[in-house]
Amino acid sequence: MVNPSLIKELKKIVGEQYVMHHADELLVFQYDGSTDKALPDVVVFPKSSEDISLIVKTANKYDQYIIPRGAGTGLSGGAVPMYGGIELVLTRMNSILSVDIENRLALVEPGVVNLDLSKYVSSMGLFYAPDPSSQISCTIGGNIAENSGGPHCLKYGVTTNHVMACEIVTENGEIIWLGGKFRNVPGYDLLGGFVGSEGMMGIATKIIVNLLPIPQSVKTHLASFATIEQASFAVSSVISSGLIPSAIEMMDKLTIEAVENVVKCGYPDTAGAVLLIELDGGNEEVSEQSKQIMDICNSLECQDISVAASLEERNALWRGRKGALGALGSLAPNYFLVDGVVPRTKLPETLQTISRISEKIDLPIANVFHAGDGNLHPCILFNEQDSGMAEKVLGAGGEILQACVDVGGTLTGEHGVGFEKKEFMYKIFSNSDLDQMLRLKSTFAPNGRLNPGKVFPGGPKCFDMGSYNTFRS
Amino acid sequence: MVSIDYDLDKYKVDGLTPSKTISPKTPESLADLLRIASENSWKVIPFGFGNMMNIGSIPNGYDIAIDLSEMPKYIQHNSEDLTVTCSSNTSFGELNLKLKEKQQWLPFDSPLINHQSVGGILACNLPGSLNACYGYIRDYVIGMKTATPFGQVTKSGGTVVKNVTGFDLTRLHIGALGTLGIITEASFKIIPIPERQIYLKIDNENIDVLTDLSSRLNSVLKSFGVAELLIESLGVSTIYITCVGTEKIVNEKVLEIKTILFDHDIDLTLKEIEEDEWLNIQDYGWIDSENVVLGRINCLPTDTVKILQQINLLSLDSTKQKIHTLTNSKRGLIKYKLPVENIEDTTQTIQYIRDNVRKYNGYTVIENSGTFDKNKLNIWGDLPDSFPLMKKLKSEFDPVNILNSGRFIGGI
Repeated sequence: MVNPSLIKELKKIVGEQYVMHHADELLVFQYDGSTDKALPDVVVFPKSSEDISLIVKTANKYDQYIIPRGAGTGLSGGAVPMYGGIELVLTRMNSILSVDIENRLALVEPGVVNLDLSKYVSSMGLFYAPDPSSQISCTIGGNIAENSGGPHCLKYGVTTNHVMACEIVTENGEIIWLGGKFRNVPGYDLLGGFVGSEGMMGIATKIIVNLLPIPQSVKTHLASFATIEQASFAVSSVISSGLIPSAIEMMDKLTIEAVENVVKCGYPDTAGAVLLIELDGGNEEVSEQSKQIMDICNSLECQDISVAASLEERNALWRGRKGALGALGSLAPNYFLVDGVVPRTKLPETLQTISRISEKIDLPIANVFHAGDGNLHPCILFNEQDSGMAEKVLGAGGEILQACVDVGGTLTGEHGVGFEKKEFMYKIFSNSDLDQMLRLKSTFAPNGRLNPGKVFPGGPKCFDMGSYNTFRS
Repeated sequence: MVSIDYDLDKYKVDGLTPSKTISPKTPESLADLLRIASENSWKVIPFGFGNMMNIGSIPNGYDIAIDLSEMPKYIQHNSEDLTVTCSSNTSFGELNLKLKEKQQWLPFDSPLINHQSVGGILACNLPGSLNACYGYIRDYVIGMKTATPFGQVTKSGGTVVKNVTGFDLTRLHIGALGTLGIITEASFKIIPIPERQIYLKIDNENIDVLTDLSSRLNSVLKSFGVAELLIESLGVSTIYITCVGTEKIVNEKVLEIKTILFDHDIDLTLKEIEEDEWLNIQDYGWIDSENVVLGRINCLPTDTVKILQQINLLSLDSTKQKIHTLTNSKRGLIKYKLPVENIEDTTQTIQYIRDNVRKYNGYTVIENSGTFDKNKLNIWGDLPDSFPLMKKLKSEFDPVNILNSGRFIGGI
């Protein structure tokens, strides 16, 4: 039972209609895009930094956790209130406050939808580079929390490369700015530490992002291969040739089947795997690189390679890729999406391991992923109604992550650790490594009140993992 | 670990001499040393190649110089993955030579870059011209190991090009001047060397024309090059240009530059120069640096020319000091040089510049103070709003305050 005085105070801050606390109202806020779920005690929709500051101070007074949430599209349980508390939904703060065209900067609120920003600035000849697959609904604030990537981060980098400054509300309700409108602001790069901290160090309330000029020319290639190994080898060959396409995306046979069932964008049904290879830049540069891509793929027994001849064709190819996860629903009622990264040269070996895991658990695994930077997204297809399935699927997910780590890779390339992978952190980091991360967290949020129970192994306070208290004494 | 107690003068920092120097040979022994120093409250200053020791405020104590020259040197180049991992004691020049064997590189040209260790470059994080085309070194670091005052060697990131596993500690150490830990290893993503890079210059006496021209050139060059405006005195100025890309792109850009020059009534001749001359410009204020105070202004690109004009106005006043500048309007960066001799004039000029830069919400730091008395300078300039958090961070990472104590912003 939530303290009625808390509800009253929250309503006073944001208005009666922006506080939800009845059981039926809370149901939808127990999820994000992952498999984890837990109910918040109360949901609040602030409109300003000042609202958030007051909410955080009120949470402190009533000893409540704060769980920031954008659109709830995260895939690692980052926005799931595992230990209850106040869920702070930032979707009302969705204004693009200003655009400085000459310096290519935009000042936005955290609830701005990723794609909306690029659409808004496109008439100015600009775009916002990070483009997660969920960009039609995910928010910039959520992207900052997870340091999100997307297909085009192969060339342009992830969110941290494009965020210049953030106004944040800290755990004690203070409002401060990190970073600046230009790089090389003197002092520690606190902003660099803040981006990707999964809502545990503060709540981003205003954000200055860097925009890029829309490239003069874009060419999207669809290359089909008989096997996924051949396609993986083509990825390695493209990368080692020195070309840096803006995106290299791979889909295997299962994914192609699902996409053609649902989206029907013209992927060849005879292929074992397809690659979407996109180049952008100046006209001549792109034409020249396109020839090189054709040559490489043709020299590697590529079944076919074509270039989208129009914007419509290009959009169709990308519609297939971006709709692939949804399309997997045509093959099975549920899927469990794994996010691991391997060195690009280890793609063929890792995909073989994934195939062996699929055979072992007797469940299909579809692969649709950012091949250019080795960011795998194996999707284990299953039916949750079958008994023992959750255990089986989670176990296989763990095996896949272990396979990534074994070849020099890591646990997550863009989805974040969240709740889902926190117990895997010891596969990568020692107690001492995690201790340093806790020191950073403690700088911003010493009481562990913000988004508890994420990233670090153990319970809500992160302190049961080992040495931190010892070092502090 | 080797301890030598003679020849301590070469480890002097801002006039302070340590009572001991120690040369650890492994990251683990370095971490042990830091733990022991922490337990005994000994203030330590790490010494890499020692070329940038003038950066920062006067230390508030100096017991031990940690000479890192005995630390391991290794480079693991994974050319097919376009990544490299190296020890922090690796020379950046040697690293880029190794990468060049496979036609790859790290595209940086900050001051004295080929004469610094990788660890030193990361700790100092000085900007270079190529940032305008390729971004900043922080965007290329994918993993890092550091020795901490708690006696551990810890890591963050990894060796893959995309990674959000755990908090990003690498960015905290970049530019932290070794005040949070000592970097022992770094992993980078790397890129192919462009097909062509050329260097050009244009000399003229008309500063107004060249100022306008350098901005126009930067907008034409886009990400394929950068123009730096050097004003050595109010009589002569030069635009230095580098252009990178494929043969075709570089030729195209040169043609565009020539077209712009042709539009002007005055004689503007484009001359091709050697790479060495370009690198000299990158070392601006760091060669024969004992005779100058080198300041750096960071501001919005669109404010660069306005600030430069304010500085030029001061130089026009015959009663005031002449200020030499190197300006990059694309990056929003002005470097300025002042003589070390006249303390009063120089401090007044810095104050004048700082007051002007503040109007544009920019920052001014003193990169190199030569032999100038640092007590008379505010090296780090105005403190950012987040300074209290920076102090807190320092106390979390170095609770006893042994690492480069007092040398960083706000006396951290």
